[in-house]
Amino acid sequence: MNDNTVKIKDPVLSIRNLSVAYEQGKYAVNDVSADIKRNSVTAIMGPSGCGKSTLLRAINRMHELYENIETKGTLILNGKDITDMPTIQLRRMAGMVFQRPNPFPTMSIYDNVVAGYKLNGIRMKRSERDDVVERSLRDVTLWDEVKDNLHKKGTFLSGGQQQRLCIARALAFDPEVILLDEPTSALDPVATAKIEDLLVKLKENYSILMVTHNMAQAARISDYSMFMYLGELVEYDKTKDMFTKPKDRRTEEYLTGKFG
Amino acid sequence: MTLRKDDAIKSIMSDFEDFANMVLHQLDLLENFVSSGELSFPKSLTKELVDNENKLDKLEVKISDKIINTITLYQPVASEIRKIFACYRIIISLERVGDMVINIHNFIEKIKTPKVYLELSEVISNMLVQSANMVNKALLAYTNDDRDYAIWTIKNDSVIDELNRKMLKKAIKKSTNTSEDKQLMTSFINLNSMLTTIERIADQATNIAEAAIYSIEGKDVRHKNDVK
Repeated sequence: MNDNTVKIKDPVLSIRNLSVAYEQGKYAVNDVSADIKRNSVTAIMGPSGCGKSTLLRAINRMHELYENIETKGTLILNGKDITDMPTIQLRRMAGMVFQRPNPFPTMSIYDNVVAGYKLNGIRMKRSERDDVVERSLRDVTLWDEVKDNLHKKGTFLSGGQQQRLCIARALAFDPEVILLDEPTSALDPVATAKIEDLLVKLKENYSILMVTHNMAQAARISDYSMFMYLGELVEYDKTKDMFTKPKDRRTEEYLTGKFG
Repeated sequence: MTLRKDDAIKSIMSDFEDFANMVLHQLDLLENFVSSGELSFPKSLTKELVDNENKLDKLEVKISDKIINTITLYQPVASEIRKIFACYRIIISLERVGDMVINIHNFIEKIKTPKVYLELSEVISNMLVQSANMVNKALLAYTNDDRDYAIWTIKNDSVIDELNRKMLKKAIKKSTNTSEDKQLMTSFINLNSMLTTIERIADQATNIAEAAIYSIEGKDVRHKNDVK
């Protein structure tokens, strides 16, 4: 790890010398090492094409959906090497939420929350399913808004509500880490504020890693921030320190809007 | 957004430069008068000092407003927020220096026994020159990101404190050797207040230097005795 990387005790996730190439020799993520703090919000920032989303996808091995992908390095999630576990198990431990809310359009709100169980053939008693649905929807402060309409389609909800439903779907598996790829960029300011408040609340029980293009958002809600540039992890520090006294000139220039 | 933010910051720095130069000019006017050994300010000089002080007060408010607006509208970060925040701290210190110039003018005007003042005026002038020099160097530290000037200023504060202590001792010694003349006592009290005020100018210079270090490095060295 370089000198511009903060030291973390008892991390929930350890990334060591991770490199990911979509084409041979062209690394989208290049030799990244970092530890992610438990029960915190960590923001990943950087200009377009810097490798933020690739890094995020590598954590739950979604990048393997691309052909010819080349990966080096290790990722240890709560003490377990992610390459040693089945992807289904990994993706329960590291749930992903995408930029555009994507509730399954043919499913009800109820079924969307427990979709992961159904699609993986995990049988549950009705009462257990009901508990998971209520717990997850309460965790995302959506329960009171939808409890009387659980059997309506997920797409019946507003954009912000749909995104909270997607987060609930990830929470249904009680993950270790929630991965979010620009979760509010498609939402209006009010919905964005609700999601931000939700993420700050969720960190009490989960560890959150979030890609964002919105520096002000990173400043508002993250505890730690990573700055990536051309596949490299340039700087990783407590958000308040990075935003007031960045160590690397490139971080300074990015934060002050000189590029990006 | 970046252009508007850059323009806003440039505007603050431009006003700050005017403000700092005006305070240095006030110190210059006072220094020149004190070194002349005169006791009575020409009316024109008093008017100039007071008019400038009024301008300084207005400019302080203007710069403060610009700083608050820039932070609110453009959310500067990193070196930009440190520069602006240090500027805010410095204009408060400079405004106090401006007040002190007027206070020293008033103390001199109240001295009724020239003999005592004249005996000490050279040293008073020397102290004033040193304090003004500290303010100047501290400002240079900020505007030029010069750490060395900032450290020099912080370390030099103890020199002024020592000078003040010696001067006070001297003044007290003089007072016990003379008769209990009411005017004389009043003069000594005014001299004492003047020396303390000059020392306070040096203290404000130290505050400016500390703000400069924050701007350059992001380190808060206030209340630390071992700044290197």
